[in-house]
Amino acid sequence: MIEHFAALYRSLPLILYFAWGDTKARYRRSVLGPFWLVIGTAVGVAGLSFLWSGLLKVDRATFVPTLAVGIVVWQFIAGCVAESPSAFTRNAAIMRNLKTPYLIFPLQLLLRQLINFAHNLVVVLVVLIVFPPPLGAAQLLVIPGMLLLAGNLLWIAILFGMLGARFRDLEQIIGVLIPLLFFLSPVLYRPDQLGVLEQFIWLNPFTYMIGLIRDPIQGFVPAPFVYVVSAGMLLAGWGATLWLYGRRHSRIPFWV
Amino acid sequence: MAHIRFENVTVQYPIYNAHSLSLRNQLVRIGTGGRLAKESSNIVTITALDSVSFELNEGDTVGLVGHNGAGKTTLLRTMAGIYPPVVGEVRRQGKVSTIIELGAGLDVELSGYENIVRMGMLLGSSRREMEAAIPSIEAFTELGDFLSMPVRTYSSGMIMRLMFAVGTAIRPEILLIDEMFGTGDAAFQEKAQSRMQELISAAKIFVFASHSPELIKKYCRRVFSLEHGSLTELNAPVSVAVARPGPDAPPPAASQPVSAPPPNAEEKRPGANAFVANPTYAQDGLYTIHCADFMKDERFARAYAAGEATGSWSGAAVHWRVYVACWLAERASSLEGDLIECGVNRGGISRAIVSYLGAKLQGRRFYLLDTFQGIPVSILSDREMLHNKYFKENYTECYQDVLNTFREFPQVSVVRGLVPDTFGSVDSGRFCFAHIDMNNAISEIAAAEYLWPRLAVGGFMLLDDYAWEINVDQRRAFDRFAGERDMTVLALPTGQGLLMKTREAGEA
Repeated sequence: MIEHFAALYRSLPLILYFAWGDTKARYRRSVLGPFWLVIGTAVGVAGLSFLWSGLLKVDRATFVPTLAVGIVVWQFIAGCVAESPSAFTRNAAIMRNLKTPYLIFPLQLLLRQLINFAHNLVVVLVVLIVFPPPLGAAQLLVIPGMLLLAGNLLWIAILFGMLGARFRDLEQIIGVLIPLLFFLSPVLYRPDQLGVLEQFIWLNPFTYMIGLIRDPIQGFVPAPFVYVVSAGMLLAGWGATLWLYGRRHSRIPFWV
Repeated sequence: MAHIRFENVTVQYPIYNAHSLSLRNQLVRIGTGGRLAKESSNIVTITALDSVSFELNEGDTVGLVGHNGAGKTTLLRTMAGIYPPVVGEVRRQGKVSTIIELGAGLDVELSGYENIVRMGMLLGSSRREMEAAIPSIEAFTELGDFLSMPVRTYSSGMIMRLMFAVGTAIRPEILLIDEMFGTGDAAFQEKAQSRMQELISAAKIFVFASHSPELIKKYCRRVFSLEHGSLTELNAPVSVAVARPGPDAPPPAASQPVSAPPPNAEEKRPGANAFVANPTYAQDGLYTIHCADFMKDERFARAYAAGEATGSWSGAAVHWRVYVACWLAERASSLEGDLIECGVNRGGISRAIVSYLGAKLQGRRFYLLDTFQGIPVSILSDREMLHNKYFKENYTECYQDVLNTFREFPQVSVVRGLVPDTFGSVDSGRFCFAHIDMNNAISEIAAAEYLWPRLAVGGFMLLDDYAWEINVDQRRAFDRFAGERDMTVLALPTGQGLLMKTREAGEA
């Protein structure tokens, strides 16, 4: 097990090169390259802001940044989770023909999504310039928030990657659930706007993941229990993932 | 120091059907208390490698042969460390490069240049090393401006060029190539060959799966044959097929098929590795404590020496086989008819028979049929092509030598040409003894079809190659031949097979 992580560390340059190559390859044939993605996000944020602020008659100065940051963070989380079941299978040709450390593929997935996320931050930046939040120490909490989020998404990528290689319909199941979770998670709204329903939204792990990033950006300090639950998810998730990986990693090349 | 060692390696993998690949079905199975288990858990486990043992050292070039699905690709993947064994141990030392599936590791949207770096890094090189290797790869692939184009625009021959160039540019110590290496035009084949030679002369390990005997013959010194996951080394010299253990020497290690009995024999037949201290006979694939008094018989010793002097057996000791042939020829000499040998080479066995029978050969003829220059490649099966005798190139031109050997024996007629065409020059219609040793199923069956009706009742047909483990094609062909005539071939521990004619066709 330890040698798997040592090999992963040695492969870091390869993973970085791959993640960048993936991003480059996906938009190779278009003029704007990766910024098509940003334009898509910008159009989405603008459209939804216009529609929902009109429908809900809420204050644009708080609603638009909430929605913009929410959508960008959601795209990052949902992108990771939706691609996780195919983390290994889409690299089957490599895994079956070249001796490569298995864990580079989930990490590569996470990095690729992080690169997309970084592109989308342009939209967030523009929105924050138009509707500036109160600046302060709260914004620094984005850093531990990102670490907790990325740490959680990595075990999800490894665990779902293994399960998705063994059970091929997991990818479809998750593909069906993600749009539903979009509405069940506080993407377009903040948990405290739900009133009596708020206690239910905290049963959704994505609520914590979004809160870890969005609240500090908007100048709020997330409640301590958000960090406690996120750290708990991190420990429990990695525990389960390492247990399963340790037991079944030798079967992965046969599954893919 | 490149090195690969397999010890009793077994690789199994599950084949999942659509049902068992489905999480939904698994949940239904749990939900229904497993009542649907029969239908849902239809997982077949394939044993792709079965107790495989061998050792490869620097300078070893190995050809891998076997039918589709025999386990060649699995063996390459296990050698590379991609597939872990279920049982046994794989030890490997050295930088590995694999070219197993065409296009694997390439991103078709990226350019040739980007893929050079990408694939090189996947094979364990650094980005800087790969960028430094680009000029030599450019020169080797001759792809020119195509290297700036996305790989999806390449033909399969061009992809092969690129993969081969990258796979060998990283200076691998162990290079594993699957069969699609045959693609590419003649110019590329030529360049690939000189690159291979470079690599081989740098004392590394090269393993290559192929259906092409020419390519294997060109590149490989050792040949492994895979059949249903079992591995046999083909061109292991016959004379060392069984090592004679001294009183203190340990029994041959299972990991070295070269010096061991047929691989896996020890696992499959309990007690087979219990070597006795004082064998009466241990050579030519036969190891026994049974009576071998013929070894002390002077008449036989003279006959054997005469046969050995022809150089037919290239130094190998084949006493028991020669003894069987001499004994049968002598028994048959009391019947009506002549003697015939198809597949003579330098005439070792026939010379021994002539000496052993002595005066009993009076009034009979002994026909020796051979091309005296080897078997035409066109009639050999792939498997036969790789047979050790073909490899050792024993079949040098020897017609004149054979004529000289038998000059003093007027009873012997040497007939040159391809069997069965040459039967037209054999002016006899009755035989009592036929020895068949042509290392090739097509010719041997043609000979048997011609000779069997002309064999006297009580006469023998002795098949030199029948029971040798590697002569699968000949064995199958003769099993069919015998089956059509309501009999079976007697397999002898010497590797020979024996047919005795007990009645004419049509008789009850």
